[in-house]
Amino acid sequence: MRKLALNDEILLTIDKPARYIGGEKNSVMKDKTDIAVRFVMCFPDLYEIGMSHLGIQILYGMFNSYEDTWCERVYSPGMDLDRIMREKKIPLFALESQDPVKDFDFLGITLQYEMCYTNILQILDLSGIPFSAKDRTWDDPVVIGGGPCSYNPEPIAEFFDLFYIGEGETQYRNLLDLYKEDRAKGVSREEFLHHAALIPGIYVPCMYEVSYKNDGTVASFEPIYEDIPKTVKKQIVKDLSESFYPTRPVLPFIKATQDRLVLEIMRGCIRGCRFCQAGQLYRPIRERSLETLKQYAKELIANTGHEEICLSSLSSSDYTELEELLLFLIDECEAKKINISLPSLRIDQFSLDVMNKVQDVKKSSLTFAPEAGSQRLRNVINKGLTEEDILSGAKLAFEGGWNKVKLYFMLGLPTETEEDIKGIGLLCNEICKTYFETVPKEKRNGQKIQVTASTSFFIPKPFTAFQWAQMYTESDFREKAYQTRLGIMETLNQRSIKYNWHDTDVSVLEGVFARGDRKISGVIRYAYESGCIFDAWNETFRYDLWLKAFEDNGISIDFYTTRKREDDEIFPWDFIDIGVSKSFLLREWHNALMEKVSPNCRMQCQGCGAASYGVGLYCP
Amino acid sequence: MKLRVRFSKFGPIKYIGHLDTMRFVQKAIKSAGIPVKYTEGFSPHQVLSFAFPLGVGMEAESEYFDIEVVSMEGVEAFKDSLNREMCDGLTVLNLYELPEKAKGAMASVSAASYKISFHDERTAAILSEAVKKFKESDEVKSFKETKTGIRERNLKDAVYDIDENEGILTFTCDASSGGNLKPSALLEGLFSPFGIELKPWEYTLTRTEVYKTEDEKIVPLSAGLKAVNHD
Ligand code: SF4
Repeated sequence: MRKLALNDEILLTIDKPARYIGGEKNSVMKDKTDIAVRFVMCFPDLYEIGMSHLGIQILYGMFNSYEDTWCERVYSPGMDLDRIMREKKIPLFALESQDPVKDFDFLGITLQYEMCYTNILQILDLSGIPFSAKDRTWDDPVVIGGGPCSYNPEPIAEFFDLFYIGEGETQYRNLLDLYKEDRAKGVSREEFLHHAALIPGIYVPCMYEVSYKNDGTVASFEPIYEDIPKTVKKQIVKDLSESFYPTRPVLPFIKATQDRLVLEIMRGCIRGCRFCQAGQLYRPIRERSLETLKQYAKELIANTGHEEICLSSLSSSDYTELEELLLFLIDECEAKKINISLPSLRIDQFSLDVMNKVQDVKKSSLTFAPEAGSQRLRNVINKGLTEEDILSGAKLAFEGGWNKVKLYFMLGLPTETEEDIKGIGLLCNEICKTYFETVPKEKRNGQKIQVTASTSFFIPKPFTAFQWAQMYTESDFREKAYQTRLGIMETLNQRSIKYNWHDTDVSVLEGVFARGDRKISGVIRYAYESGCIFDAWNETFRYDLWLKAFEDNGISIDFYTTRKREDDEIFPWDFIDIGVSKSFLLREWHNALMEKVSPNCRMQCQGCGAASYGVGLYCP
Repeated sequence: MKLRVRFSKFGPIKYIGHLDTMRFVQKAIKSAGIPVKYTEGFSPHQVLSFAFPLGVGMEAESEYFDIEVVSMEGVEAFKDSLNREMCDGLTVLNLYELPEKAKGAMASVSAASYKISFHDERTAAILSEAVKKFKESDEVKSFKETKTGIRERNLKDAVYDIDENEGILTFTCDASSGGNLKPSALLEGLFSPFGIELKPWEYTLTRTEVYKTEDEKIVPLSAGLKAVNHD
C-alpha cells in the first residue's frame, strides 16, 4: 500500500485530508525505477480548484502515455497544512508517489489567473526550491510555466527557468527528449536552458535582456546569444481531432469546484471582442469533429461513471455542428442518466428547446453577456449583441416559461460615459417590460420576473485591442458601480432587478500583473514574504500588504494601470508571437475609438495574422 | 429487485468521508454498468443506501449498502465488474439478493464490532488491565454532551462483548440509531481511570462487522441472505 507523506495526526487534524492523499481513480502509478523523466504538474491553488481544470488533465494524461515519463500532481496546501508543513519542516510532495517535489526533474506550473502569483512562491518555498531561477542547480527541478498568464510572463519571469508558450500537446515531447539527452551528456543547467530556448515555443527568461527608457517603458528586449530567436512563437495543435484527449480523467474523491466531465469542442473564437484576451490568444479557430466528440463522450462516461457532463469552448453557439452534438448528448445522457450542464448559448428556439429538455425551466435562468449598457459602447468593444437580440431572445424564453434573466456587464471600458452606465439599468428595465408585455397576468402563476445584473471591472489585457487602454482607478470604479446602482434604482421596474458587483482592489492588482514587466517580480516576492498568499480568495487577500509592497519597492501602480500608452510603445510581451499581429490589434484599437464594428471571422476575415498557422476554420 | 453489497475499506482512503465514499461508489456502479434503478426527474439519483456511515480515519472489513436494480441478468458478474471500477483500498466482497420485503440496510443495523490497535506502548501495556477492570465493574459511566444537556450512560449496557489479545482490543457494541456507541466513548471509559486520554491518531481503528438483530440474536447484516456472485 502507498505510504503517505503526512502522518495520521496531521491528516486527522486538517481540513479535507482527501486533498493530500492521491490514489484517486484514474490517477497513474508507475514504478519510478523504470522512469527517465519525473514531471510534477502544479495548479497553484487549492485541490478542488486545480482538479476542475481540463488543461492539467490533458497534460497529465499525455505525459503518462509516454513510457519513459511519470507525471504526478501537486496543488497549494491549504493554510492549515501550510502552517504545519513549515513548522514541522515537511517538504511539499506530489500526490501520486508522495515524494518531495524537489526530487522531480520538472515542476510544471499552470498559470490560469494573475492572482495565483504568490502561491507560486508558496509552492517553491515549501518544496525548498530557490525562488530565483538563477539560484537553482541540478538539485532542483526545472521549473516551467504555461497557460494564459504565460503570454505575459515578465512579472514572474524571475521565478521560472522556462515558459511554454502555446498549447502543451505540441512541443513537450521534444523538451523531454532534449532533457534526457542533455542530462545523459552531463551538460550544465545553463547549457540545457540554452538548448531549450531553441525549441519553438519555449521561452527562457535568462536568455534575454531587457533595457528600459527613462520613462520606465521598454527600450529593447534582446536575446543574449546569437542563436536564440528574437521572438517566441506560440505553438498550437493543428488537428484537434488527432490530438491527445484525456478520456480517463482523474476523478477526485471530494467535490471539485467544477464537478463534471468536460468535452472540449473547439479552440479559438471567431468573435473578436476587443476586451477579450482568450479570443485572441487561441486563434485561429479549430474544431473537433463531431464523430470524435461522440466517441470521447462515450468513453468519458464509461471510464468515470460521472453524473454530469459539459461542453467547453469560448463560444459554443459557434460550433458548426452544435445541434447534432447536443441532440446526440441528450439521447446518450438520457439513457445513461447523466445531467448535461449547458454552456451559455445564443438564445433562440433551438437553444430554448434544448434547455427545456435538460433543465428545470422553473429553476434555470437565461444568460446574456452584453458587456456594455449602450449600443455605442457595444460597438466600441465589438460585442455583436444588440438590444433587439436580447429582447427578442428574452421574449421567446418568457413565452416558454422562463422568468429569470442574468446579465453580465463590464464597467470601466474605454470611452465609457455616464450614458453608457445608465444604459445598464435601462436595458434591465426593458427586459422586465418585455416580460410584462409577453406574459399576461393570469399566466404568471404567481411568478415574478427576476433580472440579475452583474458587473466586473474591465482590466486591459496583453494581446487585445485594448492593450493600449488606460485602466481606471479604484475610486473611479467605485463611483461607476455606484452610478450603475443609481441607474437601476431610477428605473420603473427596479424592484425586479438585482445588482451585484465585484471587489475593486483585486482588479487593480490584476491590472498591474496583466501588463506588468520584470520590475514587478521584486514586489511579488516582497508581498509574499510579508504574508500575501491565496490572493484569489477574499478571506486571505491582503490589499494593505500589497500596497505597502509597491510602496516599499518604489514601484508605481499607476504606471501599469492608468498610464496612457502611445501607439508605438514596446510592450513587455511583444517578443511573443501569438500569430495575431500587433498591427492588427492597433487597427482594432483605432476602430474601437471610432466606434467602428469589425465583422467576425465567419463573415469576413480581418487579416489578423493567425492564418499563418494554416489551420483556421475560416482563415483564407 | 434489491441487492445488498458487502465491501471493505482499507488504507489511505480511510480519509475519504462517508458522503464522498458514497459519491464514489455511485460512480463505480455507473461505470461498471450495473443496471441500477434511478429516481425520476431532472437529476436522477441511484436508489442506493449505505448501512452505517464510516467516520473519517476508520478502516472497515465488512460494510454494507443496498441497491435496487432493474434487472438481475448477469448478476453473478456484478462483483467483478464493480471491483474493476473501484479505487485502491475499496473492495466489494459479496453481493446478496435481498428479499423484496426485507428491512433496508440502514434500518437494520443494531450492533457493530471493532478492532483497535494502539500506537504507544504505554497504552498497549495497560490494555489487559483496563479490559479486566471493565469486565469486573457493574457500571462504567460515560458522559456525552447533547443538545439537551449531558447524557449519562452505562457503557456496560452498550458493550456486548469485549476482549483483548496481544495489545489488540476487540469489542461489539450497540450501533442502533438510538443508542450507537462511539468507539472513542468506550476508549475513554477504559482508559480514563488510568489517566490516559487518547487522541484519534494514537490508535488504528477498524470496524470489523455490522450486525442486525434476528430472533433476539445479533447476526451480520448478510446473515440469511443468498450470495449471488461467483465464488
Ligand atoms: S486570419 Fe482571418 S479568419 Fe483567421 S483568425 Fe484571423 S481574422 Fe479570423
